[in-house]
Amino acid sequence: MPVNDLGYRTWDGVITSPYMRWMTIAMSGIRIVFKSQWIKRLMFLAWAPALAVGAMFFFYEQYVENRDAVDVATGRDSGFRQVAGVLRMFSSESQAKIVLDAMAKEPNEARGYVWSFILMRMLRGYSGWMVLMLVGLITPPLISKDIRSRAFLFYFSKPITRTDYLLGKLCTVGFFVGFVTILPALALYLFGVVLSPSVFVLLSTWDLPFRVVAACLIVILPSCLLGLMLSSLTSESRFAGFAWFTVWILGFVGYRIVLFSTQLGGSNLNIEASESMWQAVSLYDCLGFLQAWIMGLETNHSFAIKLLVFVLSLSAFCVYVIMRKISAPINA
Amino acid sequence: MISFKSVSKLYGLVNGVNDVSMELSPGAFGLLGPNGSGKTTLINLITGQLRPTVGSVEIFGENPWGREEMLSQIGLCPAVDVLYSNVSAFEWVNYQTRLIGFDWSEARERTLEALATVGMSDAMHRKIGGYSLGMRQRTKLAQAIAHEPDLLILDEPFNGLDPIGRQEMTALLRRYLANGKSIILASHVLHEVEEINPDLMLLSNGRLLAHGSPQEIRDVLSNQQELVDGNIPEIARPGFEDKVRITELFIRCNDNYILAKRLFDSQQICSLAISKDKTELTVGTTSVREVYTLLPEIAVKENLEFYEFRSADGSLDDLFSSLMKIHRGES
Amino acid sequence: MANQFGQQFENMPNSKAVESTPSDLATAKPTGPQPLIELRNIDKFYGQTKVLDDVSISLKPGVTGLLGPNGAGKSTLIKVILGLVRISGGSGNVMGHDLLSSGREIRNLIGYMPEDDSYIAGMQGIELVRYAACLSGMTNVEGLRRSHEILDYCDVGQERYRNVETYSTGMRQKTKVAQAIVANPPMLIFDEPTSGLDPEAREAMLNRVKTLSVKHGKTVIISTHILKDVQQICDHVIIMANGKVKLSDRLENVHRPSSPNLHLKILGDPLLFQGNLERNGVATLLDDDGNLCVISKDGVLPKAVWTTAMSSKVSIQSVIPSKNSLEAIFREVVGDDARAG
Repeated sequence: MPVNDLGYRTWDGVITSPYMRWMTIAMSGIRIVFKSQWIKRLMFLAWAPALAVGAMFFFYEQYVENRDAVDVATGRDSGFRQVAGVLRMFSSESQAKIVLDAMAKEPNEARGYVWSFILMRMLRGYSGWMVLMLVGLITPPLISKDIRSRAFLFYFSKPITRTDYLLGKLCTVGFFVGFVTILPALALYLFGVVLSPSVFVLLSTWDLPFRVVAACLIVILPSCLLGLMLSSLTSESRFAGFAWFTVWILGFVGYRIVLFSTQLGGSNLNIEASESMWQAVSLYDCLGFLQAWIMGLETNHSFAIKLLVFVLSLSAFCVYVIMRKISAPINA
Repeated sequence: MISFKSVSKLYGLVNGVNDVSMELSPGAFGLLGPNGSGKTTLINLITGQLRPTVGSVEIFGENPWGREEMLSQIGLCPAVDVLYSNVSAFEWVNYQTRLIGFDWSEARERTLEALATVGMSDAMHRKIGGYSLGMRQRTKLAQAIAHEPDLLILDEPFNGLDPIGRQEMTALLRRYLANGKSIILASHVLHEVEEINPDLMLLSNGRLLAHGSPQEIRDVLSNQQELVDGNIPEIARPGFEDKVRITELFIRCNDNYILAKRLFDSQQICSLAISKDKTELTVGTTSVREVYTLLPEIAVKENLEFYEFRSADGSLDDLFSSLMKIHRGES
Repeated sequence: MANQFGQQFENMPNSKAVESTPSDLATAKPTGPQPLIELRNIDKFYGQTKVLDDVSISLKPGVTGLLGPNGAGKSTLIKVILGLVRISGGSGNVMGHDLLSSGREIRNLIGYMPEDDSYIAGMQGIELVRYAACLSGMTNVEGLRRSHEILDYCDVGQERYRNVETYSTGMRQKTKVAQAIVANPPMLIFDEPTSGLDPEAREAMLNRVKTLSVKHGKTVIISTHILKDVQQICDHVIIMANGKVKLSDRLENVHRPSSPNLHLKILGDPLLFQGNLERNGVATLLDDDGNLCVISKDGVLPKAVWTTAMSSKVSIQSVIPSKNSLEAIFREVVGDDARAG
């Protein structure tokens, strides 16, 4: 009678490509992050403000279709004044000016600018905070827990490289952040296209989806890398979390102090018109400027390039530190 | 009739069955295994209620998943309590039979016949809520046989039956088999299953441990057979010489020392121990059958009086755990 | 059984050595098969400290014990083999792959069980083993199925559905073994496999390691400082101290007694007994521990010893054949260095 040997038996079967191992790491990381109740709630809430923005798109379309009679004196209609008021409330003068000029010329043609503006507002105001919160929640334990539980011995006795590891971790946090920023923005764009009177709107706004993705990435990549770097510097995820929020808050506050003191000093600078390199101190403003530039709402290209170089160098530095930290426990 | 090819079923992360392959032709089969070994999962795979994660299942030559019409050829008596408490047995079995597809009159006829076969004719119009466990088992069984399926599957059918009920159930199953039908019985008690002399399949942790007749299983239990592993040649493997199990016998007789001496002289024993109070003799041997033949000779020759004599093993659980220990390379 | 790594072995000059049946392995002669790991003059510096000094190793199939006190360089040597640290000098190859350039391929062929607790936080045991399987290239479903099988083999029951952080020491050790063997690598490195285990679990673990080598033809390296473990299951022994390899030989050679003498432990007057033995023609001497040692040409206790014992009213408590104990060799080999260094 065959009693099967249920002990160890050899295995041969299909092996996946060695260049896709980072996906295994990413998916495993995503599964672990998703076990947290808070993340699930945040994911759920993520799309709520998109509804509000969708409403804004809708109202703009309504305005374009149902314009009142033009006021002879100012050459603007009453609806325009309302929109202008709202815009001025929520933006910098330079950005509002660009949009209002375009609107004054021809509201239909201004659509590209208006959408840019609205999306930008959303990215800045709401998505920006979401990215901050999510990265602050997800990244601190990503590498620090591995340091604490000596997971590197586990990882690097397997046929993977440090690059696989970093890529996997980046995609873990990138998945969640992308889900709440890129996806709603793209969905809103499609929503806007659907609402508008003709399909030719695609022609005038074809660059928007790419700009949106690029604007999101310019925020996501440096933030995630910064978060991962902070996480790799300690084995306590709390410290990494504190450091993360401190960097942003200090930068934000520090920059405003500098501006305020210069204002006190006499010059009558509008807070966001200042284009000194002091903006680099505050990542929030720095990345915000770059986002606006990508969306076409800022035109000082040379300054933008300078900031871009700064941000990319920062990212490269983070990658360097992370790779060193990953190798360190093994070399010990 | 039933064909499993490298079938694995995983519920998310939890293991159901792991890499099971078997080919069963019509007849009687028993599924043995401790709780959690995958018996119910296997049954659900056969009836098409579960789809395998890996591998393929074929019943009567076809994939049972999504083929509800195949269920008219299969009768399932599940382990869990599936009866409604506010209807009578008659109503319930009738309803089930109607669901198979018979018309009113034929369903009624079959219901009455099935309930008579299981011995529920008197109580069949009372509400199920008031039934005893044995009556519920019989009702479930009636539902399973009412449409005379080619394959009858019973999951722990003897659960809760008194000895008389067990006898009746066994007789019923034997008659069913005699009519050329097939039966699959799942249980964790060997002696209940072996009455219908089925081909036994032992399951452990979702894997198929062994496949053979009840006699062969008993032989392994009492250690008559060496464990044959298809993969490794039978020439002595270093470290594996003594993989045949040692069975222990407990004996109490009027002169344990003489018995011990004689058993020892026969060279069939590996260990002997007498308890501190000198009343019980424990004999360890790898060849139990020889010892069984020796004992009467010694008893007669030395004029011994026996008070007690039993073997330690004999339970399926012990067999499972010691087999698994050997497979894990721990002993 | 076709081995998934078969094609790599075809390139090796003597691939038969690794794919041979267990009986071949058991009787492999010392000079026979091609070594699986060949390290030549490896040096490794950490800053100014030389942690590996001119290390040369030729690893044969079977179970090899890597012995040495703490700080001897065992862990560093293992990391060198795994291709995890860069060496300062020397060269080598592991199963046909060059040490310096093919780290990933080498790690594909080795299953490593770390000494320290090493796990991923927030994962259940079964998830961890599946993760190990997938990192080595298995698909999700097959990895999960195989992980269940391996956890059954490693005697992990329902605990596999609990988070690894909640495990006891024994459970962690078993899980570490499971994640090392799940992808069926031909070589295994166990770092302190029995640390923290109770005697029963230790027996089970050692048996499991031996089975993997004997029954499944895997090459196993056990790095430990417990001599008893090495004596129980190893075929070869490598002793390291202060970054140098002090001894590398088959265990039976190490154990071979220098002379077939017999050591006695007695209850009674030893000098009187010795004198009587000499008079009755039995040559004796005192061994290092001060016990009486009977010189015997063939390892059999002369009958005269018993008669002399009876007449001298001495009772013999134990008769133990002379054997070079691993412990003595170890102390000698390591002690030399301690005295010199």
